[in-house]
Amino acid sequence: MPRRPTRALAVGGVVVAVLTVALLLGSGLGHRDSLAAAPLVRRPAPHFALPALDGRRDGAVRLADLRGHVVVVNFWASWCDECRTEQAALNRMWERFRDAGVVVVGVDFEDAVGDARAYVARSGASYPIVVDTASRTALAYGLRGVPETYVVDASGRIADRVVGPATSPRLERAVTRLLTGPGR
Amino acid sequence: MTAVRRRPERRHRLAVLGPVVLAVVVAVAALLVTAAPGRGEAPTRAEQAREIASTLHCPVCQDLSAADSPAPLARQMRLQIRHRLAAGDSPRRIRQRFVASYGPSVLMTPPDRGWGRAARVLPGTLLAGGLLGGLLLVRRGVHEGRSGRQPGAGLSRVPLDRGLLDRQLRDLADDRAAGRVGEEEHATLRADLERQSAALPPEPRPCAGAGGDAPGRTPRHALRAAVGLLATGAVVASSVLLAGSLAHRPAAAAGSETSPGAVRPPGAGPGRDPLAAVAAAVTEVRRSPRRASAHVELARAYAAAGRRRLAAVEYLAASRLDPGNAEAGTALAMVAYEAGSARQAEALVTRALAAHPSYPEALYTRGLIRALGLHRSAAAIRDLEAYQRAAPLGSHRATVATVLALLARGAIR
Repeated sequence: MPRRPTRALAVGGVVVAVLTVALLLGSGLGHRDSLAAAPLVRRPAPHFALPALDGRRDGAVRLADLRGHVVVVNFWASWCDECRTEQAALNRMWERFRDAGVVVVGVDFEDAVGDARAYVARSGASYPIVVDTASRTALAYGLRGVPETYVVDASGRIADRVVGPATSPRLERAVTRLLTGPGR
Repeated sequence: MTAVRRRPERRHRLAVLGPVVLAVVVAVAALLVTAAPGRGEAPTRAEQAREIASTLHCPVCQDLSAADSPAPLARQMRLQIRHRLAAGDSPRRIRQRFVASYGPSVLMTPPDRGWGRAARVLPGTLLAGGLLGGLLLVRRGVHEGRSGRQPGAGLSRVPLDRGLLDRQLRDLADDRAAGRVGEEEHATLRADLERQSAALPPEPRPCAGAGGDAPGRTPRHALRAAVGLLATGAVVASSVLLAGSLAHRPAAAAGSETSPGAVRPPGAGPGRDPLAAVAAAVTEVRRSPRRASAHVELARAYAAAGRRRLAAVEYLAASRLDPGNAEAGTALAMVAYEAGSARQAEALVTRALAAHPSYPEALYTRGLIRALGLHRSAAAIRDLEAYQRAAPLGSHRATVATVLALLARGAIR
């Protein structure tokens, strides 16, 4: 009869292994969102002062100058197909909310300046477009790719983050909540 | 006799344990060599930067460190690490900065807390479990090897297999029948084989049907049932976790509800066919006739469809329901101003601003009314400058700049 305890041990080992793998698999699947989740949400937005894409000195944007406004910071690139998908939503958002004090800022990421300028000319974007030299701002915001959009509230905190193409309802919901929230 | 018997036993044990011990020694030595801190001179800044980068994930790659990735963002990470080292930041501080932006998942090695601790402990636990299991199996092998060599057994090399023993018994019977062994020799050899057969553990019983031997089946079936249950539990747990993670994703297409009296930008609303928007807004007003935001939505839809009078009626309804509604108040002020009543317009927009002092559209409207309708330059300048502060990139900024310039020159009185 010495086989029984060993067999029970082996079966127990298999059960533990199955449970462990299942748990890790489940946790890994559950973790995908948190991997993409920004730890910066509800924390102060990293400061940036970036030059305008068109080179105009008055087109430069300093986030600190926009304190008191809801700011939509959209990271994009001319080589990014999904950025084209969300362009109409951003344009619409800007046209509708700019007179409510909302500012949309496009941040060009890892791009050739000529390509980026040509893209902007075609896109119909009339909001300020700046260039993230050396990707410092992208790294500060924890960017994992483009497009990514951050909504910064009037107090300078990141209120929302959209990974991938932003849609009109999503952006409008985020901005409207900030415009109609307490203190407004 | 005992010493003679123990020698092959010890040799057997050594043959089994030797490789295991050797493997453990090699593994521990390899761990010590790889984990040992670098010897020799202090690393250069470039080496230090590379070492830090090798502990960070490239954020835009799959399973590549920032040191190994050719992605431009990883290159910028390496550059930033070098700059920060040059600025005097410690490696720990540099890592913390990246963790602050990207979260702990940016680290190649999980942090020593929460799931990270579990992930650190798990390999060690599994290794220890494996070693323990291996040792138990080795012990079992040694034990079985020992139990196979019964004292006094003449056939020490006879394999411990019941089938083979049975076959040897049959062969022995055949040899006796053929006259190849004598009666006495047959009796001795048969007795030996039977002793060995008796020393073997009982043969497992075949799995019976419904009417089978219940006491014989119970432990194995209980184990199988437990394994099945646990596996099912694991699958269910995984499904629950998966469902939870999916449920966590934000619904992208959900609309937003505006509270009564809220400030909404002019023209804000779903981008669709104006008449369809009017129809939808009418339905909403019918459903909630006492909700100011429904009337504001309908007013916007009418305005977008070019039905300005109907828009004014809806703004008026919204203003009645919610006197502090900034958008309704501002829109009505414009209607009053266009109808020639600048004072009434100013009163309406002032009421809107009392509720929402920094609503840019109201500041702009009052500034224009005061400048062009009431000729109160100083008050108009205050409003228009407040508009510039509230909406520095607003759509009226060019108009506001022109009006302010005209007011400053005294061209508008």
